[in-house]
Amino acid sequence: MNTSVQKPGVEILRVSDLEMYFPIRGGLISHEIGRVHAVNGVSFGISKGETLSIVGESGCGKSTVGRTIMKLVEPTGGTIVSMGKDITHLSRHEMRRHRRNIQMVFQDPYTSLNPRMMAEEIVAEPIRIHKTMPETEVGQHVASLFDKVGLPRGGMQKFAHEFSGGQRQRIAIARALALSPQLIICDEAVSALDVSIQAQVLNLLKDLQADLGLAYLFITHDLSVVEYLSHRVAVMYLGRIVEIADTKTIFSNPQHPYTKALISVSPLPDPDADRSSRIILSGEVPSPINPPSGCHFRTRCPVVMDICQEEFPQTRKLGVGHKAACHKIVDEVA
Amino acid sequence: MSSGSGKLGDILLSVRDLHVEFQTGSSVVNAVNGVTFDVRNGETLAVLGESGSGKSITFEAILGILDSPPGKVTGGEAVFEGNNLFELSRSQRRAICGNRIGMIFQDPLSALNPVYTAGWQIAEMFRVHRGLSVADANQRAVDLLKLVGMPDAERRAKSYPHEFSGGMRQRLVIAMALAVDPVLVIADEPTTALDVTVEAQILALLKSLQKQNCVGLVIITHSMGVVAEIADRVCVMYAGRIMETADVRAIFAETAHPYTLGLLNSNPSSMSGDRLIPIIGQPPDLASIPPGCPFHPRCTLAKDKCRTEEPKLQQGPSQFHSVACHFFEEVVADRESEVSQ
Repeated sequence: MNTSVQKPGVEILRVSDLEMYFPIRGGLISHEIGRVHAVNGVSFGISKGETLSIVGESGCGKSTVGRTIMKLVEPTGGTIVSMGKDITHLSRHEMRRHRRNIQMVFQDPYTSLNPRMMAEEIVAEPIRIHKTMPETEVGQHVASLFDKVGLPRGGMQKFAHEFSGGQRQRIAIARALALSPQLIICDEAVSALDVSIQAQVLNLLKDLQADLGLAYLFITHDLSVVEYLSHRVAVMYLGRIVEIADTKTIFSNPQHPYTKALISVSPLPDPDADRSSRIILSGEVPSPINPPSGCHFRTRCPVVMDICQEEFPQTRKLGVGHKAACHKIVDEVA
Repeated sequence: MSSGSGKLGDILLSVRDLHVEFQTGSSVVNAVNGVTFDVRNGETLAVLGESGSGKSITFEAILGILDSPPGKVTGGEAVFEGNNLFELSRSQRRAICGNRIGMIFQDPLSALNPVYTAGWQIAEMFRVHRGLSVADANQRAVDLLKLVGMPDAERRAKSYPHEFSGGMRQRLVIAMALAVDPVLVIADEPTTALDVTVEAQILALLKSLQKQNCVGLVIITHSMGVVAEIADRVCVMYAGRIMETADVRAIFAETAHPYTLGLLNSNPSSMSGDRLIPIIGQPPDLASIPPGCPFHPRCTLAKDKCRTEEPKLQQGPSQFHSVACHFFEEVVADRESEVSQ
């Protein structure tokens, strides 16, 4: 799968036409009465050492994308190629072996750490399961991971509840690093943290990337974090990527009306910022059970046209690595 | 919706030296340690702080909705329309808070009763506090729903809370808070649980309602973005104390407290260089707040004086700008040299 656009780094993940629907069951014999189209034809790639952010509102399917790549849920369509290997239909056993290359950090460090295990055991667990090193070396390795994520070695024998939220997230990061993965999926990994602590963790993630050449798939709703951390950004709306580009382009030259609105309403910490040109969308994200026909965004779109109701807009290439799916863009180009 | 009594700029709520403690097992947690501030008519006051700073507890104590025990107001006063709220009986206080002060909570679903329709719950305010008939109260409820931008208000008044989306639920809660023409509205993290496009809608709604009705509005938040968006004046809280209070522009442009500056520098969207400058360390354990300035273990400017002597909230760089820092002049000077560079 090296057919896509040439990128500076080696591509370590390629997702093509990923589709994930969840059946809704009901009735007497609990047959399928509907489908939640959580992810609907999503494609992107991530290169070594790169951060791709997926940004969107609740219910847009961004977390499902992350969970599907980890194969925590089995995708219903499309392919996932990781390290040159098609993992879409790997068995549980094979996937477990492969998963050392892709690790995950979750939003809530209070529920993602086992309260009965010491911090040291939590971080060592992946190493013990995958047997990547002899038992005699594990302790030393865990200690070096503690150093790497800025946790005191004195905390190794403590339990998760004895740490603060920011420190717990550091434990989760240390655990994710334990198997030296190529890619870490961060699902809202800093959203639950206070801003002063969030900044510490963001800097840590950046340093680790520089040191270890990690790639991140960063799933978040927070645009300010996206701008700080990512090389490229994919904007999702109701199961689809509506726009994808490098970070600078997304923020300085967004093309999709949803991206434009999202960026314009992101609260700026500046009381004198120009707020006159902001686009306040009406309504809320429609239900993915019964999405609008044609373009999913048309019910809230400020520049909606007749065609948007009938036809789903094809993804158009706008520049190097910049794509967007909007009928309006076709008009302007033509 | 008529405007409150009083003139623009009159003091509505005056809190002096408020102390709140929590008894937990053997230790005492000092959640609020001598908080003093005023809320004025027609003004939006933002109370900014991270988790555990005491921002919510302060207002729960003022409204008498603190979990007690373990929480207890151990000192200070909160004067609202001439009455010290802490000296009133439960029923007197309830009459005042129910009639004159509206409250908006972070999680609208838990603030609404799931077994009554939206319209009935809003109408309840008119029936209980205004003694209106059911029909009149229902009509007033529909009017209010229109005011807060609920589409198709007549029909939606007959829906139950679970049938609304997050943003619409928050509109319901705002409608309830505004129902009885309060003079003061307190909103605790009103947009934190909402998506960013919906947050923009709700902030715009709060702003316009506050302008129309000329009430005093308090927004409790952890977000610098929300503060910049909506506030006139800001109180920055840390470890149950107010560290800095000033006009919103002064907070951002003439930051005088190292903690406020740290918050600003931690915010990815106000970043100038290519790296964030976080505040080092962790917020203090409220059961053992460090002596002297509670921020000194995390402060890069801390000197011996900070470790022993607690700074009082005093006049800072300008008349209406107060700051609790022994060395705020250094912060201001640093900041100025940074800006001029």
